[in-house]
Formats: sequence, C-alpha cells, structure tokens
Amino acid sequence: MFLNYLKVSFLMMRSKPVRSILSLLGIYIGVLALVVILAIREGIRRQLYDLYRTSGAQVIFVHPGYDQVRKVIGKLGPDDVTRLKMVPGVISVAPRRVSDQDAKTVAASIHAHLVGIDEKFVAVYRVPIIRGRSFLASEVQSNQAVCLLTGDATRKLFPTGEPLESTIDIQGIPYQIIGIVDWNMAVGQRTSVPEADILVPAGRLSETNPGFLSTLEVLVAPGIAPPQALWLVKQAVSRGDPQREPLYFVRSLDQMVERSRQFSDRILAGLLGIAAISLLVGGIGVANVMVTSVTERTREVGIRKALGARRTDVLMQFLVESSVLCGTGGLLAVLTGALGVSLAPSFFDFQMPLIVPPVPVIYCFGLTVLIGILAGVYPASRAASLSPAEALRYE
Amino acid sequence: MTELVRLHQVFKWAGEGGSRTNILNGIDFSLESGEFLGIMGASGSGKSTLLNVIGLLDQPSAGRVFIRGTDASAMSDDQLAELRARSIGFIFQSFNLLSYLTAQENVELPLSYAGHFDSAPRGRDLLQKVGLSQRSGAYPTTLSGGERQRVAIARALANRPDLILADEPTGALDSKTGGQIMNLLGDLHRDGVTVVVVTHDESVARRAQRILHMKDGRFE
Repeated sequence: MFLNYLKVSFLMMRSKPVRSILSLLGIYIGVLALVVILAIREGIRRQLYDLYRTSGAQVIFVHPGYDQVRKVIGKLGPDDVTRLKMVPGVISVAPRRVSDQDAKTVAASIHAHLVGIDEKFVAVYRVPIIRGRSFLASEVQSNQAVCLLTGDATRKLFPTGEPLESTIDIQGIPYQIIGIVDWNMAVGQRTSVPEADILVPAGRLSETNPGFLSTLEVLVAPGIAPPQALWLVKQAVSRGDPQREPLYFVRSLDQMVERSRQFSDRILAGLLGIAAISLLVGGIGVANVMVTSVTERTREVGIRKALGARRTDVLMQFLVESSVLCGTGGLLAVLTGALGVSLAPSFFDFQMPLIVPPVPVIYCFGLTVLIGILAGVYPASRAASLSPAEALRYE
Repeated sequence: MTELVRLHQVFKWAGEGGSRTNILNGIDFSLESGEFLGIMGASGSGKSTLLNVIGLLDQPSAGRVFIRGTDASAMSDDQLAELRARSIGFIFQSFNLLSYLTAQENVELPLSYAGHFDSAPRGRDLLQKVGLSQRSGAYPTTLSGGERQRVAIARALANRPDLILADEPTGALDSKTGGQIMNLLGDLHRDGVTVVVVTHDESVARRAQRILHMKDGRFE
C-alpha cells in the first residue's frame, strides 16, 4: 500500500512539474544552505583538529595566574617542575625558553627569535622538516651548538648558498645548522610561538630568572584522557589546595580546539538559523500547495472513498505526497550540495577544507521529510474527513 | 432470495429550519440478492441521493439502512469503507477514473483498499472480461467513452461485490455503446450479481427486472 502512495506521489509531481518545482524550491534552498553551512562547520572542525593535533604526547601549558579576589600573583619555579615530573603519565616538563639574539652569516645578519627545544619537540608539534634532520637526544643532553633554521630565516641568512652543514654565528658562538624547518602558521598556533627563526637545544638558552618561570610546557602520555591529564596537572601545581588554583593558568591544546570550535559554532549557529527560516518558509509553501492540491482533487477523494479507501488511506496518501515533495527537494539539495562542495575547490581557492558530514546531512534529509509530514497534516486531514458523496459532487 | 438492502423511513434533507429541503422523503425499500433493479425519475427526484445512501456513500438525515440485516448507521467510517471495498461496486455516469493511472491501475485500485496486494493478475482478468485486455496500459484520456465505462465496470467488479450500483451508466455514451454497456451489466446480473441502475432513460430501465419511479424524494 505504501508503495502505491509513493507511486501516486511521484505521478502527481510528474503531472504538475512547474508547481512541484516551485513548491519544493524553498525546501531546496533551505537544505542547500544547511548542507553548505554544515560542510563549512565540518571543514573548520577538521582544520582546528589538524591545527592543534600533536603527535606522541598531549601538551599542557602552565602559566602563572592572578587571583583577582585575593589580589595575589602566582609564581612558577623549579619546585613546580619537580612536582609536575612526578605526576603519573607526564613524559616531560620544561620551561618554555625563548630569546631574541643577534645571528649572522657571511651574507646577512638578523635579530633572531630563538626557541630552546628538546629532541621530541619537532615530532610532538609536527614541525615539518624541509631538509636535514631534527636534534638527537645526545645533542640536546650535551647542549651541543647545533641549530635548526626556519624557512624565513634561511632566506634572510642564506640568500644564495646552502645552509645545511654551514655554521651561523649567534652571540659570537658558531652553531652548526643540521636542518631546515617550516615554521608555518599552524606550527605557530600549536606551539604558541607565533614567530621563530632559530631552534637550539633548550640548555643553550639559560633562564634569565630561574626562580620565576613564565611558561611550563608539560607533555603527557597520549593514553591519559585529556580532561584527566588537565586535572592532574592542575592538582600538581596548586598542590591540591583549591585556594591556589586561581594562581595558575593551565590550558591544553584540546581546550584551545574546543574554544575555537565553540566560537566558530556560535557564528555558524546564526547562519543555521537563517537556513532554518528558509526551511520553515519552504514548509509553508508546501502546505499551501497541498491545500490547493486537496481542493483540486476533492472529487478524487470521493472516488477513492467510494472504492473503499478508509480515512487513514486518504490521510496517508496526502501525507506521503507532501513528504515526497519535501523529501525530493531535500534529496536534490543534499546531492547538488555535496557535488558543489566537492567541486568547489577546483574552481575557488579555499583556505580550509569543505567536508559534507554524512550523519548531520542524513538528519537534514530526515528533517525535510518531517517538514513534509507537518506541512501535510492539515490538508491531509481535511481530505480524509470529506464526506464521500459531497466529494463526488465537487466540480 | 435473501434481503440484501433495506431502507426504513429514510429521509435526507439539505439546510435547516425554514430553508430545509427534503431530498429523500421517508423511503421504505427493500432489495433482494440477485435482483436487477431500475430506478427512474426526473432530474432532482432524489434517485442519485438514494443510490448514494444505498451505497453507504451518504448517511441519511433520519431513518435506517440495513445491509444484510446489519444497521449501517451504527457502523464506523472504517467499517463502512470496508463494506464499500468488499461488497459494493460503483459505476458513475462520468466514469470517475483517475486520469494519472492506466486502465489496469484504475481496476486494481479497489483491490489495494481491500488488502489484496498481488492485484495485477486479477486486474488483467477483469480487463479481459470487459474486452479491454489490449488497452490495459492506456490512460483514460486516450480511451473512448465506451472503453472508459468498461474500465469503470471492471473496477466495480474488482472485489467480487454482491451489489453493483450504476448511476446513469449510459448517460455519457451514444446509444449503441450504451447498449453494449447495458449488455455487460445484464451479463453480470445473470452471473448472480445484484444490480441497481439509476436512469432517466426508459430503454435502459427496461433491462431491469423491477423498475421503481421516483418523484420528489419518494417512490411513486
């Protein structure tokens, strides 16, 4: 029976093509907008995930904070490093060491941003190596005078020659260049170091004031759940004292992903609202068309009832018709939206990926069918309640 | 013969109070199983309304309708629909075929309402019976008037009804085609089907075993 309803629904659409197209246009536009917005949302999510994803460890930054109620400034020192190193799951704890120093080669001289790193840094933060290699553990442990140059610094310091295996003079000390890395925007975001020119073993940069550390970088084993890792680090630095908690600002890259995701979701929620209004208007259009259709087909309702159709048969017939009308609009929008999203990067230069998420899009299609049912309730029940004799007399 | 339909003091009126018009005026009537009844009357005499009441398409304003001894006024809408689907076949003057369905699909429509899902073989048999097996895939707009009425007859027979109600079945046809249609109804009657034909054409009514004349909503 349901197949009959479906068949008649498509036959009705075929018999009134212009009306059907116009009536499902509102739904089509609404769903198309939804699909595109969802593709942008998914693209942003993937991009954020990729931006902040680390490899082999999760990263938690600890900064000194300020308790606004008690007017007390937090302080990070070597004892905090020791305490954090004892937290289960913590791989390493190191003060973030950055310094601006003069660096020169035969060809040029710059005031360079130096970053002190360990042998895991490049792998954990997924810093792309253009040429050469990263530091060996032995080089870091023995504080050897080796360095990695970023692409920008290479272009400035070695405009013509090959930098690998050459040396660079930093504050009068020659450093051997063992690799070139790409310090792109994503790496800057992940590491919280937006600009860098030269990477050196951490021990080569001495603390200006070892008693007051500005940032601690805690690497936690990936097996520990991110919220638990964050909690463990917070507990360690505040020594389990709730009053000390406001004195430290502890944040993980996961939190940064979540915050950025929430921010983009808030912006996209407005757009989703506009698309939802378009769907609502589309639904009203379909309801209007169905009311007209029921009026035009009053005699048909009478014929069907004379042939034995029950109220539910007539009700279902018109409900299925309005659902099919809306569902067709939704399906066309999903298909053309997905096609458009997959083809768009071939024609336009997007800074982020556009990905159609399957599950929300299936929900979108389901929503259109639901809108169809809702739009059909009034006209369908009006048709179902018609008296057969009166319906047959309708001219 | 057993009583198939009985009407007891059936009134049907339109409007209320002073503007009330009686369409059926206290009809008492009985129809035996296997009968071929002709109901004649001028336009507005109430014969089509009577046919609608007998066919359970319309409820009387007062009085009772019994089908095989069961009071139809006590039945729910769904029960009435079930009875129409399984026991009554309608033939209309204007054929009332659904234009977007083929001849065979039109014939199969009552079968689906009666819960028969493998309706294609029955549809083909019925079209063969009315001589239209070659036109099963044709749409009503491509059929002649006589062919459309044959499709309507095949549709009315779909669920092997006890009762065929025909409202001016030849009204939209030329006399020759009308004669063929009446021959077909005569054949059905000979097969044991109860047939009621409403007409204002005396030559059509003469095919019936019994003729009742209506005037002003009652039998003369």
